[in-house]
Amino acid sequence: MTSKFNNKITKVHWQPLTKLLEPSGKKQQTLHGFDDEFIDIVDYIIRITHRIWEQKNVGLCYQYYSDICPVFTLGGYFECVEQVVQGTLKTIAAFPDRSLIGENVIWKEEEEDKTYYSSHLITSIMTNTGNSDFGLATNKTGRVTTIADCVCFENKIIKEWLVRDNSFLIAQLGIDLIDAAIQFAKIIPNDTFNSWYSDEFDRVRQTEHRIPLTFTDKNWTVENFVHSWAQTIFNQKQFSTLTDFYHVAAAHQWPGGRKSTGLAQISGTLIQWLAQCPDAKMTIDHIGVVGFDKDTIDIALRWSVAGTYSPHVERLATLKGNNFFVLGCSHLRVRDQKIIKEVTVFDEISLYANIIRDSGVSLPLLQKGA
Amino acid sequence: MFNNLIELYTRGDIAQLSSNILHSSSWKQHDFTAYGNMQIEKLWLKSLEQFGFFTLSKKQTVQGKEFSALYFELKNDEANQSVSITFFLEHNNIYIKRLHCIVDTVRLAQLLNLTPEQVIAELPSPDPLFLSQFDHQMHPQSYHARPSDICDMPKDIDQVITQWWSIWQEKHLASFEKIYHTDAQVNIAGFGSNQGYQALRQFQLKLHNRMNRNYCQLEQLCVDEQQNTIAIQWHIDGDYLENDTIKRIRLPITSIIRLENNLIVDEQLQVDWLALCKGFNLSYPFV
Repeated sequence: MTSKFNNKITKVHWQPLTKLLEPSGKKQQTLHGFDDEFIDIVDYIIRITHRIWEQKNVGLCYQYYSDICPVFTLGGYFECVEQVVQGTLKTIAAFPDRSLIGENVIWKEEEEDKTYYSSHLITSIMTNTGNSDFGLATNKTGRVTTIADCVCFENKIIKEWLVRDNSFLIAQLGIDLIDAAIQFAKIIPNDTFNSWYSDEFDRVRQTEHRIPLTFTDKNWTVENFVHSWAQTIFNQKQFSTLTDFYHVAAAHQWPGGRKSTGLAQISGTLIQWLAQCPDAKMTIDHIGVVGFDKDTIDIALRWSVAGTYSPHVERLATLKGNNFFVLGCSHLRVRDQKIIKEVTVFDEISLYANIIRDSGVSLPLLQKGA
Repeated sequence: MFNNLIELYTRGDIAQLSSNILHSSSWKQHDFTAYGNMQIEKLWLKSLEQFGFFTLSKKQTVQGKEFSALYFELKNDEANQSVSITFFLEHNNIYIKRLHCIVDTVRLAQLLNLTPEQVIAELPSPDPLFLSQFDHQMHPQSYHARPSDICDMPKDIDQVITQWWSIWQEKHLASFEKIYHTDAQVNIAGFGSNQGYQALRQFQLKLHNRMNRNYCQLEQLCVDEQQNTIAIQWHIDGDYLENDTIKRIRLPITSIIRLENNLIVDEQLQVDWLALCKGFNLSYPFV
């Protein structure tokens, strides 16, 4: 299954950090314009992340980000390296011991424009000792999953989509999700964000969701599989077909602490989540795939979901009918054409914050100091 | 690797086990997942304070390929009390990637001469779980994991383990007398050791009757063909009834089984009851 992949590129899974930071292998990719020290794109991503975040060399963003680098998140849009530096510094100040544990890097060489696309799955452990966008310092330690999708060109990141499981983080910090969303909603996004958000919403809504997209054993390709996954499960809501996509004991991690194993639980997670946006449409916006071991591949997806919000909690009842839009990323581990492990990340706080801001409704906070 | 785990608790050998841990390794204990050296080491130090440096009194290993498991008991000879611990780990024989450790915290409380409430207060906060509602029914054409879906194993072991799983997932209680030796040693965390399956059957009934709409799900399984030992990582989701309130909960379990002549002669059913109470704000005892 994985023979067609370049299996000489760095694989993070079983590597100790010391080896990742001092790679001894030969250069495996051309990496035109990149510093000579990097042997492949995975090495580049792992080492620059470590230098910027764990060694706190925030200023290295000037070296590894282009001056103009659009960064898309569901919570806002940043464009220049100065904003990346300032945002990084602000986060490190609020979470000074933040560690970035690289779990996986799934990559793709884009032949058309000579760029590399990387999807970096990160687990962070961090203690909230300073005030942050979430509210006052809680002095609690939390864990959060992030996926950073980057376009890399000549030693610099030139475009990024960043998703973080903020709802899981604040659950550990003891902050209420809706309170955090109300706070986030007060942050006024720039015009570029508003325009991107609106354009993306319209684009995804145009998806033709009634066309069957299926695959057989004979025409199984990663592209067929993931487009069928999006169309059949998310767009057509045919949950009995989960068995075509997931192993019967697949491990499934979704934002906010949704952890499921097996078809019944995964089905429950997806039904409950989609019920708040019953007309949801999904598009697959980028696919990357690498070999994991001889029988297994890793797929990175960037996707969008758009629809109409149908609140599932009384506190948000007044927001019914507003636009619902999600920028999400998933890492799928696939063996024998079935997903055995999925990690999906998006920012639930920003999802609700955008709905609240769009509605213009003023909602009360539950907690003091939130 | 098994020795390194044992030496951690019996000799405090942190350095040796640290050499098996990656920057990206995770260690789940008391339903809290620690990542990275700092968090993992903190868990080890707390365990050493509570039950370190005692004598190894019982051990069972399950050496699989990608996954392995270890069960042992540590005895405080002076107090004549012991505590049991299971480890279910994903590894490559050099490094541990993921490990789930379950401590019998009820026995730990007895060992430390503390009340369950005192032990609960000392446990780390479990990972917050968002349990979505789902259809728990075994519809005729729905698919539910069976042991052979997860792990290849010899036919005779598969037959016993499939029947064992049917006891939990499908409530086939009649299978007890088919697959257990009459003198089987069965240890249920928090309930002690028993000869024969009767106590386990009673426990199974009590557990299911305390949880409505319950559903058993296999997570991972490993088989040691040389020793005829099997480790199963699984959990039960259900509606727990307490004081007229319903709480949706998840109960993680590791079962370690040893077979002789296609009969279960030894079984450890390991649950961290006090972590469950802390995570879902339940009162002890659970059943």
